[in-house]
Amino acid sequence: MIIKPLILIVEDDKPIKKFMKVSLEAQGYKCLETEFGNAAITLIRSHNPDIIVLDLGLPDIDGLEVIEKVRNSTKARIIVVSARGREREKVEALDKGADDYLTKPFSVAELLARIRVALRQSNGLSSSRNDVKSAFVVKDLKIDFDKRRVTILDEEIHLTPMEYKLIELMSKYAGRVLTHKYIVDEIWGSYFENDTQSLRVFMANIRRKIEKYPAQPQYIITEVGVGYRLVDE
Amino acid sequence: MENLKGCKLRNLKGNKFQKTSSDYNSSDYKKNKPITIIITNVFKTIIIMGLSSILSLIFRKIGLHESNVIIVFILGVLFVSRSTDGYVYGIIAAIIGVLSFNFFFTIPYYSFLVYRADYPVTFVIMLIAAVITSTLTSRVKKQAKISFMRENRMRILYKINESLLTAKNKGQVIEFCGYNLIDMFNRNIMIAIIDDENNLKKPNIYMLKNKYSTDIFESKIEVIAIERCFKTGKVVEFETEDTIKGMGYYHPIKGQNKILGVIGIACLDKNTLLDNEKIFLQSVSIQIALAIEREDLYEKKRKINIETERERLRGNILRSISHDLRTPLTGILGSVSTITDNYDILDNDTKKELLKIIYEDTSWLIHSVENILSMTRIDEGKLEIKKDVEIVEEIIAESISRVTRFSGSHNIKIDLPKKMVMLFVDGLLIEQVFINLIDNAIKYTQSDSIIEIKVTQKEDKVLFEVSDNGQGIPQENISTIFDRFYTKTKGNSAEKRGIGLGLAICKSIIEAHDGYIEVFNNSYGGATFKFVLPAIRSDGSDYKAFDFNS
Repeated sequence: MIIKPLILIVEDDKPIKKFMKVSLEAQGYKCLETEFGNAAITLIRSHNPDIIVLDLGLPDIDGLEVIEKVRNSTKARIIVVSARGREREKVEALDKGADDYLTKPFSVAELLARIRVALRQSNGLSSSRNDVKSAFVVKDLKIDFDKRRVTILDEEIHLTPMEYKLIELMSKYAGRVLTHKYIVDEIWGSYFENDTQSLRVFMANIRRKIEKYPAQPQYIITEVGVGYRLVDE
Repeated sequence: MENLKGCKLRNLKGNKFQKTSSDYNSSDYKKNKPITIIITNVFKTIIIMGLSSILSLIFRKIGLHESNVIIVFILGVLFVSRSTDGYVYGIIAAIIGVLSFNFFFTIPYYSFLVYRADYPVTFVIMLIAAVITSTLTSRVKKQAKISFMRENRMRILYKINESLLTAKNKGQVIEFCGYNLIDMFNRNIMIAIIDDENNLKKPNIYMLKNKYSTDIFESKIEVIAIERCFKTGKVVEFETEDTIKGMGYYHPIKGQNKILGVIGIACLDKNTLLDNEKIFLQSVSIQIALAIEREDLYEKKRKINIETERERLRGNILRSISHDLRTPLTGILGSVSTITDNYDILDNDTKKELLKIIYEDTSWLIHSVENILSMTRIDEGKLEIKKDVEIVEEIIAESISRVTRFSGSHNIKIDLPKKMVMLFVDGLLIEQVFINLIDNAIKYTQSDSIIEIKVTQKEDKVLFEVSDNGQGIPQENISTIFDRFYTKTKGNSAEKRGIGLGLAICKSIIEAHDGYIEVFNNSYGGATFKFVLPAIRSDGSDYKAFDFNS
């Protein structure tokens, strides 16, 4: 018997909650729903959902607070929902332990894509934690971790060591958005505000090497004001 | 040109001030060194009386009557009181005159004895006449001096007043006063006024050229004195205050109901201000207060005007927006109620069609709301622009992904320079410009048209072009296309609606970034929107943190 993944929807706007629930259930997921942050915390502790879709503006407590309270006790993937222009809020949520975000207004297709990414990640984490993958492949892009080689359609792309480190890090978390802070912390070890600028230049350079049309990227997606995402499907 | 003229004018005025003020000062100057004054006065008295005596001796030689001698002596007294300061010298001259008349011209000659009995009467009358003459003369002189000083003060006040009238803002008021006061007092001047939060601003300091180059106003004691003057609204000077051993004389600028600022005058080397200078300073401070209050009122009025204008505009926008939003909302509502009411009657194709309409209408609503939001951000006057270093291709990529999310079959071509282009802009706003321009091109061209985005860098600016191969823009509309609520009214695509804010927003955004936007029709058909933004300065200091080739 296949266990249906359990998704908790925490959203105070009823129409949005409704369409999320209907479309997710239509895809064969099991859904729980609530409008309140405190209720969400209780539900997470009692039902242990696989994925939590969390709106940051809730009537009782701040969504960020919910993340703080449950992050250590659950392995659930947390996808936050927030409005455009509130990039700082998203970054904060991601830094606090959220795994992904959706920007309002979003389409059903976007929601389902994020859910799929989150599920893949939680499965990958639980089943194959120990076997290190030797290669990462998406579309025409292939990263060979053993040979430290990046190819597109079997044609080798010359990356500097720093660029390779960056794309290797992103491929490890493919599909997920990585904040500027996270990437800088991982690659350089310490975080200064100014390093974000350097990171962006590095990213633009990598993109120029691997993307056919840098302004219509297929692989490295810029999440404006938040960070970067390497696509995984 | 205007400025130059003003400058010249001020210089001329300055020179005049210099002249009048030096006159003004010279009469006061003598009081400062009393011994020399006494000596010159005594010297003058002796000379004049000596001359009178010699003249009288000549008269006696010729054989004129001695009444002429008396008249000559009285004339001498008159001259003395005219040419000396105060009435003391006149009285002394009167006594000298009587004594020398007695000594030289009464029998026996060359002694103070008198034989004729009527001489004492002559002496007394002569003395009284001489004293009255001298006091009258000196009083008239004093009056003349006072009125001269008053006239002078009035003239200078008038000049200051006149220059204050031409001042266009508070800064100029202060500046004019500073220069005029320097000309007046020949000392270093400090003027500090309050800012909008009623705190004393950093003082403006006007220094004399070549003289007293030390700046006293920034020392701690002086700052305390200025602060005290501002707090208490009373004059602060170093003699009256035991606790403050400063070097300046501070006069408050009193407004109608608060202290507007402080004027400070440097009194170096115990060179204190005279009483009439203090009075003068007070008059000037009143002039400044009036001018500052006038400017404040003017500023307030201007702000209110802008506010009403903005309020009116906002009202207009709100009205048109709510009208334009109502249309798609009606469509959505109608379609939805049709489906729910007739769910079982309608076939699936009709339902799908209605749902498609709902989808399109909501997409359009979302897009409009984004525009309205950008609009309010710009229009709030605060101009909330958060500039950051942005990479052009990221902005374009994001805008295209957001446009194509809602619209279909146009071909978008992008032409970027080889070199990476970076800008110092508000990414979200520039993104909105691209979204609006691309969306505009989609809206007003047939499907399958080609939309081309081209970026080129030219020295200190970056050129962006969004062009299409549609029908172009009618010539008569080109000049008004960036106005608010402009929508293409004629032509095949008339049925497509638009709030008409899009291009106006683009213009506001580009102008807020010190760029410009223009539109022209292409020779090969279609229109091109072109905008130019300043390029980032290439000192590269931001990117030294890492070696990119490491």
